Amino acid sequence: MGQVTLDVYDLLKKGGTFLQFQINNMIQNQLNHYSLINVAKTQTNALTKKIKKLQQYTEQTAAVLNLPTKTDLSNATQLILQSEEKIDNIDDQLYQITKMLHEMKELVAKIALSNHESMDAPLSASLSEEIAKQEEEIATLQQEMLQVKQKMAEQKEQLIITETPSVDPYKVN
Amino acid sequence: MVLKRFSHFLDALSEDEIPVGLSEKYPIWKKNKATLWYYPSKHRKFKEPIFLIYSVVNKAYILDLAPSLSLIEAFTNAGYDTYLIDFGTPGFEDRNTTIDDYITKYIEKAYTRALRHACTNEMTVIGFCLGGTLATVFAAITDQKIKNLILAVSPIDFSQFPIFDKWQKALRDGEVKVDDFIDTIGMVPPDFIKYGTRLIVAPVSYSHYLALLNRSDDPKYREKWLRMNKWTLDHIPLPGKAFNQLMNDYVRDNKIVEGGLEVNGIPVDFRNITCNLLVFSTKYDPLVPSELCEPIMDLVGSEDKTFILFEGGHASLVANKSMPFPMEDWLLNHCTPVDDDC
Repeated sequence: MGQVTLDVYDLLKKGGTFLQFQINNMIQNQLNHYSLINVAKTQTNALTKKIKKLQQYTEQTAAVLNLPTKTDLSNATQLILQSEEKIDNIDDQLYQITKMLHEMKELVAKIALSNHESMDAPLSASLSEEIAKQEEEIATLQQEMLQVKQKMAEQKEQLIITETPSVDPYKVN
Repeated sequence: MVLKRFSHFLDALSEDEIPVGLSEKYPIWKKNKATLWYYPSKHRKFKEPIFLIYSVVNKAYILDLAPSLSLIEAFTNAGYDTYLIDFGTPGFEDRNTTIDDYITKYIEKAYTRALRHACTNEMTVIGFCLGGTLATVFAAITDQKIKNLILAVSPIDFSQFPIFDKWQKALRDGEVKVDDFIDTIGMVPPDFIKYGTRLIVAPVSYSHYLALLNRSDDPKYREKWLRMNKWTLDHIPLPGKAFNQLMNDYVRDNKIVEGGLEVNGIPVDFRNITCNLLVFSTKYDPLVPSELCEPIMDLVGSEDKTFILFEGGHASLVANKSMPFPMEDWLLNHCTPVDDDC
């Protein structure tokens, strides 16, 4: 006759999981009830009003004491965010200009190659040179904008009120 | 033996902070709290990189829990350069951020930046959970080219909620309104998200401890358990305006399916999605059952579209060392191989 080994933990897992399923079903059924919906319906507004009043008192007290509130700090942060967005948009436009300049440079090079004995050759060379100069200036500008964005991010960090300060694996130091 | 397992179980519970998100990655664009991460493939084999969009209520490191436990690592090992838009943890100053903002100011901008960085004009976009819902709307409104769209356990049709039907009816009939309350508190705290999710999945939850107890003598299982448990408890706050828009437009009015969804005042037409589409859902997912995901198949204009139902639960597909097989196969058939390792 084969020996049957009872695994206590396996039994516990199976039984416990089944019991959890039953308990949760019961809780979910109990919560899915009109009486609770009615409580939520009537109490939400009252709670909201109380919170609003408290917020109002806090703002008024802070104004008297000349203290910045969470709203003040967040408003300042929002200004930085708007600037950050604008810098991003400028950067996008600069990228498009760089792309166009690059295409122009290629076109000028092609024209110069096909008319290399004509009078246009020096003109093509000076055009290419001018485009390269513009590209360089744009690259410098983009670099400067990146630095400004980084500085703004640092300023924002000082103002930000984080809801959940935790170790974030995706945080860039 | 029994006592040894119990001792391992106790050791696992008292484990210190466990590291996650360890794959090689570089930030290539930052905006507010969001970061666009680049995960280079050591042996790039495909022209189109992968662009990942994760949910706005959970942390994205579930896609990269640890070496050999990372979907991102599976992508890079298979030869796909990978980008991930990580929304970060919003603060009180972001309370006015809407779902439209997430789509147009973060996802679309990040996608453009990723295209720019990869020097390409199209990518494979993969959205997970709520990130897939946002990816669907993004794919419908963007002027940028998308080669493939993959939606993983992404809710689309919110009329089919399996439990709390009375609450849903009350919400639909306008009897329960939380807009004003949410606007007043500004942000939906992470605990609200945590317990809200738990209410749907399992209000009382201890079976995962029993599972750990049962297999605590397996160090690999212990590590995976610890990382999964960390992620399960690690929710992020959601801006109040985004929450209200989600509850009203997506859940209450079910506008993706029933029509009328607008992004920044412009109507969204899902027939604009003409790229190759793969939708997958899992059999044992109480949070996003397959009935919530499948209806997208009838809304899009794509000719090449596939729906796959996997075994497993909500997060089981992503916390693995390899891609789910049908997805790997599908990607192989829908991406362009490159000749050289450029």
